[in-house]
Amino acid sequence: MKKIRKILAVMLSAVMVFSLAACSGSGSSETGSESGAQESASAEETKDTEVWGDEQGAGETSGDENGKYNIGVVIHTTTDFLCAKYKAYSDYLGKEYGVKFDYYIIENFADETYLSAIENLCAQGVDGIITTNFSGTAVLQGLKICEENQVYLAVGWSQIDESIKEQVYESDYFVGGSYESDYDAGYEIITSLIDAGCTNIAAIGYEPGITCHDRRWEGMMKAFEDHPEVTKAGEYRGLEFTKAVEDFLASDDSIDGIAITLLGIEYCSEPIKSAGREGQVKIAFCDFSENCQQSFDDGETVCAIGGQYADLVFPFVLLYNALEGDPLDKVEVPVNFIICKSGEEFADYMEYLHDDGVYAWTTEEVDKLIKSKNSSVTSEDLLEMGASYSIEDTIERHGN
Amino acid sequence: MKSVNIKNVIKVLILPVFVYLLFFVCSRGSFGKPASLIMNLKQTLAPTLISYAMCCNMLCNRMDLSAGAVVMLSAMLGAKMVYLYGIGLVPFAFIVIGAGIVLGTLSGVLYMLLRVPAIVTALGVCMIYETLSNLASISWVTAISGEITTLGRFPYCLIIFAIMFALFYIIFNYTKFGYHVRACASSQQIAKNAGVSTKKTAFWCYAVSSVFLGTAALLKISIQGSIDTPMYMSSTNIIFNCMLGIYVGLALQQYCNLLIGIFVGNFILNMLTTGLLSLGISASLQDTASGIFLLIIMIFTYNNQRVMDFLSNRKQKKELLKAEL
Repeated sequence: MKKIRKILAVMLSAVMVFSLAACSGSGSSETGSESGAQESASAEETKDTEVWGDEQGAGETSGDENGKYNIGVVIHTTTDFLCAKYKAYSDYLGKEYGVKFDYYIIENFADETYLSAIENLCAQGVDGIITTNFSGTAVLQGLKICEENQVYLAVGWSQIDESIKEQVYESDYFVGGSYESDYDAGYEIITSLIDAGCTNIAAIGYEPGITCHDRRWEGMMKAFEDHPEVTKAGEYRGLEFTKAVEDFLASDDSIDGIAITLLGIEYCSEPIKSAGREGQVKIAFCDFSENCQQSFDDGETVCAIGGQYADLVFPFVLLYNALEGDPLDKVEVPVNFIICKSGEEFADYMEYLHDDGVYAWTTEEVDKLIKSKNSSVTSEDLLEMGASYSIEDTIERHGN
Repeated sequence: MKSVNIKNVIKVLILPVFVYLLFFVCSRGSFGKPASLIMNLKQTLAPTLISYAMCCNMLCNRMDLSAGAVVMLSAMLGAKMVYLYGIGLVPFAFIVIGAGIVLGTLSGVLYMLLRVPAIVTALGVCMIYETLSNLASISWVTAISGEITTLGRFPYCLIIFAIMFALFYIIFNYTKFGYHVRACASSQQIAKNAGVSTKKTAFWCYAVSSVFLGTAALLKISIQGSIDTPMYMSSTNIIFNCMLGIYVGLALQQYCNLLIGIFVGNFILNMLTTGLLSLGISASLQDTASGIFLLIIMIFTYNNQRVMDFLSNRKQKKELLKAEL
């Protein structure tokens, strides 16, 4: 009996250690021809593999399995609406340009988690790294690790903090990045609710610390300031969003709008129904999801903001040119959000930008951004692309 | 006897009524409308079941910190099955409750076999379950909607709660296991000397707890329509409020059954959150305000008898002095 207990104790310790390791991911790239399999497998099979397969956490890859370059991507998931498309886009680009992407799934957004991810990817021997949502001054530490390992670094979905910008740009291994107009998105969330007739709005945001969410929150607060005729029912910044919605609805039955910096339908719909306020409370939020179409059609959602998967192109192009030995000038590209305020607009987004095999920019268009294929390309072209990104622009370029 | 009961009922109700009136007055009537109270009642159901689940272990000085992770992982597994295979309501309910029973019992088995302090086992199990939740999640949140959330609506959620309340009431008050738990709560050593198998009782605490955690998971995801992916040990957030509910229940135990006290405690905590929101207190101050307010309530509840005794003693002394003069 004592032996069994000892064995069990050792097993539990091992599982705990393993679970900690799994939390911080591993990014091993030995396995996985998932991207190839994804195309041929049925949709259901693909979904199963994405959710349950070994690919999650360790060993997720996309692009060209035998590519000449290996780019690591630090990201929080690859299975939701946004990140699954991000990964699919990397697969599409990687196959064309001979790049293999190694995904490193992080469990949280703590600086140490990012630094550990960068260290592991460097140890694994990647040529470049794209870190999504990498905020604050920890970028400098991440860059130091990259310098030591001679690995290029690009940042996606986040702007470099102004206080360290000069130091970051001085590094030979920082190639640039891209970010969305999060402040404007936050502002738009509130004004669209006001335009829809809401007069008492609850504001909900992700806990402070992630630059993109902080800026969305600042934009929301500024909109409240600019519209004193509207009541702010209250503020919540944390991690228990559904409970926050429930609490708001229970505390004030005159709330007619909920503004949330992420995944509005998932967090708000059921609590609204549960409170018997269906049809009386409108929502506006960032991050598209599968449920947007239905929610727009039901009149529950008045504004959904998303389409950030296209952001990938910019760090990719900057990294690829640097790896080819012909880097573009360092630049952080502001990329437009796609703002949908009706079911028709969201249907257009799906048709021209998100459905399977449809991407914001095709490889023919991306070719023009690769110096070895177009010597006249400059960082200005990237800035123009980011500024013109919209449903209309895509329809103009790709529409029949 | 009847007057004592009415007195006790009043004493139990005085706390929620006080909290209600305080926020009703301070918010100038914006807090405390019937619809808000019904919403509060609904919000109280799942946390109360979690409190019941943790209650037996807590009484026996075992802190099961993995309870929140069991709830989140069970709900996550059910939601994932809906997402992957579009399963119906009945299999969904069975999967969530079944997962809760398996995961909760597993925690108990590990505690029994490892013979390390319960809090250490619970922390390890909590980390493992959180990691599994992370691996199973789709995004920050895994959501369900439509018919699958039927059990979260009135009257179904109330019926489920009533059944579980009755079940726990019987288990805790009228079974051998319930007596053993209360015996162990007083003193494990004396209970052991009296012939109670503390080991067996500990295992049954976890087993009974697992049924309630599974049901709480079902109610939680059905009412909220989503379950968050735990990170930074966030699953423990769920149980801290439930533990406070137990403490309020223990404080009220002298006036009512512990189960009713726990329910009242959880209801007060929910009113507290919505009340503070209705006063417009910013999110960053809400936790501080809740903490202070809760301390005041606990100080009052635990010391009111002493205050009453002090006052009656003083009265008696005065009367004695008067009589002597």
